[in-house]
Amino acid sequence: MDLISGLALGIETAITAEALLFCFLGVTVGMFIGVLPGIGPLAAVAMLLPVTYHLEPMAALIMLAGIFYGAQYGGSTASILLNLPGTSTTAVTAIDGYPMAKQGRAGVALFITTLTSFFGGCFAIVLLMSFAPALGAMALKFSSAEYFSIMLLGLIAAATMSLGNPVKGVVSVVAGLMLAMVGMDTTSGQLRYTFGILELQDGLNLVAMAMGLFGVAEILKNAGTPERDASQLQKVRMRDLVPTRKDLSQCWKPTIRGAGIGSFIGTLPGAGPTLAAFLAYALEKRVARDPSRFGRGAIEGISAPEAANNASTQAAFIPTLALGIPGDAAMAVLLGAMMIHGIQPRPEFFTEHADLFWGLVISFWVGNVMLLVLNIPLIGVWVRILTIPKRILFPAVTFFICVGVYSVNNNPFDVLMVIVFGLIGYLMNAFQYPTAPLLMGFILGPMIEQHFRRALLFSRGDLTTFIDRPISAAFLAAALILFVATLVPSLKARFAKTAAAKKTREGAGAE
Amino acid sequence: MSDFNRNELLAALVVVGLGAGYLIIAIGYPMGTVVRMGAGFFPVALGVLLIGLGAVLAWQSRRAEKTAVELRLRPFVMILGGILAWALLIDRIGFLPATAILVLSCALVERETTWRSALLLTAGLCAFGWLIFIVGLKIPMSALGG
Repeated sequence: MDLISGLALGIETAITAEALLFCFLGVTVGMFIGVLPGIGPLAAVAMLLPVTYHLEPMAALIMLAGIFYGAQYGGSTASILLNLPGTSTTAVTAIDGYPMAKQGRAGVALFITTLTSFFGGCFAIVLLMSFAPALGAMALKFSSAEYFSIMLLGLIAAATMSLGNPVKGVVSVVAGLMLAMVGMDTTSGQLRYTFGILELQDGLNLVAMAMGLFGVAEILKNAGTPERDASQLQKVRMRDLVPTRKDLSQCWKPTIRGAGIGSFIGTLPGAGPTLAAFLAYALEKRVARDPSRFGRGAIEGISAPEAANNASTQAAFIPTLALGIPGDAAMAVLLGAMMIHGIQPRPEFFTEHADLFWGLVISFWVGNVMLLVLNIPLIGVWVRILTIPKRILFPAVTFFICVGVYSVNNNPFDVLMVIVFGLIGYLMNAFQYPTAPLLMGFILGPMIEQHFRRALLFSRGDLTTFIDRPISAAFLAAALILFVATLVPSLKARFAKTAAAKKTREGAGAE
Repeated sequence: MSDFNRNELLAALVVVGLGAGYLIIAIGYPMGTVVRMGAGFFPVALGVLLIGLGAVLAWQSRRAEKTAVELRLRPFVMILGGILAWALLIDRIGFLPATAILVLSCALVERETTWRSALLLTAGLCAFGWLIFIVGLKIPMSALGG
């Protein structure tokens, strides 16, 4: 299917009253969740999952996707105004966004981040439209060996490219793979790690895991701490939003660079928007004529990372839809939600579900425009959301998590698992083990095992099958390069630097 | 030894222990051959890998920065306890009372919360949840009773 007829089909499916309504609902909730510090898009999806059961897969998908990219827009608000990132992906925006707010330029910062977010998102959608079906066509020729190799690449990317100690990232991925083994082995029917518990035979519940690791763990960390001080919040009025000509001329190049980096990182399986934002920021600092301005309210410091994290979120749909391999942890949850709706993303997706794919692409455009329109005139409303106190927010979120998880199987057992994963997530955060790679490992675990076994069955036990096939060999080489690059001291120093930056930010946030 | 970090070492040893426990169970599953791999092959490999990684982390902990781990009992007990109560009671006493217990327990974690505001929030969320989830979305939960 060519681009034009694809777009026509997409417009036909996505420009209906129902689709528009759910797109609106998705991006609004995403934006709302994104603004609130501490609750990420993963928690939002579980809360809205029960709402989608009665919907057509198309509407459900449009809405769930809208939450993800909507949250990217909203995340910058708390970063700029309170120096508290709404989502981890916008943490880097706080470095220059908060100083801008202190200089009385919060309105400009919010306006610029909205514009650059829009640009980054659109940039990546164009890539998605032109690139994803081609990748899908190529992937039709993939056999198990290629699938194994690309998943290995994705896992290594997820482990080593998270911030902090890469060994801990690998531990997290391996733990995820281990948890994926729980339940019945599809090949032999053998029960593994079920400990005689009936509910574990189907494996652990993804939604319960995501809610525990990213919802409850976060609440446990922040509950009972002093209420954040909202009195320092500036009033942001419409006329404060207007950037100067100098602002605009300073930020258009960084925005394009950021969108490029974000799209590239997003397309890699396993590497998410947080990394994209950090890399975009690092690049801007390096190419800037006067790097000392960074950290003191440089407009490049907010425009590049915001373009990058939004581009990355959209580009992450490329491997997710074309290969069924999630671009990052958030995509992993979306993938799980798609499976609940009976959609299995794989290379055939573009021909079998052409209407879904193009409808989704069109909904991305619609959603991004909606966010732009929602964001700028209503900026005062979003700012006020920041003043919702934890004593109202946390009980409500916990309640929605419980109902959302329960409704997946109508089984309270899954809710008990939320407690377990909440504790695990809390401990992992406390000891600085990243939790997102664990989810990646869990999602890819069953697939990577199956493809590994099948590849060796086809090759009659010959391990060279993974390097004899050129595409598979290329993926493995990329994985190896990534792995070695992590061990190279110069890169290590950069990781240490970003970790240090993270620490100072956390320190500032705790004040 | 001045920069020795006991918490980091402890976490690394837990990783080793988890790997070992996982491995012991994995050995009980059929390994199969390389061509026809059994259910035990992958788990054994993962168990060995985790033990190795834990060992690397234990080695690294000599130079790790000190991490302070604070444990605040109140939010743990009240939030996790609230969720536990909800999970155990939802099929026994129904959606409304289970939700009331959950919301109250979570609301009272914050010391700023007054009983009045906690009760208002509880009533609000119960009514809202009942309307959306039971009346609207028809999730099979009984409002009252099992």
